[in-house]
Amino acid sequence: MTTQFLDAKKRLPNLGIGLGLRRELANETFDNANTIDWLELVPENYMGLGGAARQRLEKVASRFPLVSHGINLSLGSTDDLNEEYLASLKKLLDRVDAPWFSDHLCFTSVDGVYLHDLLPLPFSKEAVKHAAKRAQKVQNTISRPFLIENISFYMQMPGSEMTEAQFLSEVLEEGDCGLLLDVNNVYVNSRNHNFDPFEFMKQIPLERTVQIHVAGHSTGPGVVIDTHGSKVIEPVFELLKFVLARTDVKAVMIERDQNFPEFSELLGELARIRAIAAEVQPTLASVNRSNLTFENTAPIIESTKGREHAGALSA
Amino acid sequence: MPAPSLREIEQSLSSLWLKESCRESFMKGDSTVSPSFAAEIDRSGVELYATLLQYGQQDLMVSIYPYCAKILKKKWEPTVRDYFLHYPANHYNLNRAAQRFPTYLKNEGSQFLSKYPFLAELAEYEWLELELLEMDYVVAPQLNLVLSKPEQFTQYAPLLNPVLLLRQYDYPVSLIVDKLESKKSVSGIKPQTSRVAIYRHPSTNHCKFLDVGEIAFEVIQASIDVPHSYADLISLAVARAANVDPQKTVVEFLDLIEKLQELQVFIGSTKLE
Repeated sequence: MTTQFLDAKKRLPNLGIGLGLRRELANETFDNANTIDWLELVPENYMGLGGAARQRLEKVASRFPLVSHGINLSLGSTDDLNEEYLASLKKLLDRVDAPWFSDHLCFTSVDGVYLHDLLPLPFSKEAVKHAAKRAQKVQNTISRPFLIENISFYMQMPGSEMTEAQFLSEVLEEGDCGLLLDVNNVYVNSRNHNFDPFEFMKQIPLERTVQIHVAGHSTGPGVVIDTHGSKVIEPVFELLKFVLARTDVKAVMIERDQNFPEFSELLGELARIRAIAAEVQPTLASVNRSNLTFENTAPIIESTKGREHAGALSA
Repeated sequence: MPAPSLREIEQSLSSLWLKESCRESFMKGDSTVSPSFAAEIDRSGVELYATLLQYGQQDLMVSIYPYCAKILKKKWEPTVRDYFLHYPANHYNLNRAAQRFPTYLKNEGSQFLSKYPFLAELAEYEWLELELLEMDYVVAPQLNLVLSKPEQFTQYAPLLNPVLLLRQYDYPVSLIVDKLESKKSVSGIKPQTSRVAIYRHPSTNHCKFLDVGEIAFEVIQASIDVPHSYADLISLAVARAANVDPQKTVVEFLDLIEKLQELQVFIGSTKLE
């Protein structure tokens, strides 16, 4: 186990309470910039793209600190890492000066085919070694701290030899990376796989947590799905509080990818997170970038054609 | 029996999630999944992931090809499933997974093309909107030159919007789209050459479809290949309209240029070397 990452974490900026940038929410996000500390963008929605996407990127980069949360690095895939993807990602991160970047502990491609979803890995020793080695390579290539997110998963993969908590811990420590802890994913998995989410969090290296995702989910017959399409529920806020009380975190955010509500509902959730942070980790709650304005206040005309990448399975 | 490798697991599960035929065989117990781990696979999990992946594919495709979906109605969903079997996504950009649908229709869509022979052209028309919306090109604002002196016609060329594609179709695709918008039948549409300039407006970033006549098409095409002076383009128009009074053609050409500038097909003028 190496701990260079933990030293690097100390130097990372404290971003505060933020929101995932989505084209459907973009103009309201700009209009409410003084209550949102930072934004997370999905790089695949901007890499090599012009038009409204580029306009949106330039606008947010002029106002918000940005971090990048990728979908298609395919960390656990046995395909070679996509060099074109990495080069394009690095270019984007350099452009927006992101202090760190993240992706998921999953695979999204095999044999050159992209499945465009976050697919679970077997919790095996081979997968630990494979993902950790690739994480190190990615971190070195991109020259920025790399965070790995725990995913929601809906089936145990064959070949598993350990628990999810052990698997996640070993990848993080062997790869010497940071953790993007999605507390909604912990909750969803605890419901679907019948474990205690608080015990789960006691078993993982929480000190590696740099960023936290908070989101809503949907409950279907016999399964809870991580949709990012509904309100955040109280047990998820409780998990957030649990983590913030135990480790120093640099950034917390809401992910909302579909079934978009009135923006005031999201602002209410951000306020709730800020209140929790104020109680247990005040430095996180006190980041304040108010009184900054956009030079260009004209709204961006967003097309509905095509789809943006998002951090959850569509459902 | 040796433990399955990570690669074997990823390949096998991906096939089960993506391919209905593999999944059905597996559920019946006669699949090609290695017996070393077949018993470990959670069948309901396989079904759930297959459903979620299909949902994502359908959602993507209907957002890009709404008119094709309207035409195919109940056949749309199985067509999308078949498309992804023939042309699985090969790029990290989600929208690009839909790019080869027009090719699929040309190669595999004979059952639809007999009833809707324009379907592949319509699909291309729909795809190009997305391609132009995403095209990585910044169009800098340009000043429009008012052509007031004779020498300007030889010294300057129109500057074409770089986010533009020209297409000539065998069917009246814009008309078909209009009919679909107004919920009218598109059965029995006859072949009729149509020409369209598809471009991204530099101010709004929205995609525009402009039906153009034969001469306008050639004027724009000539400007794509190399910059041609206004005088050269007038000569081209006059030569192509051989049976029309040249003075009338010149007046119509000037009107055309003005309209193309107004619509931002031409975004300014450039001085020739």
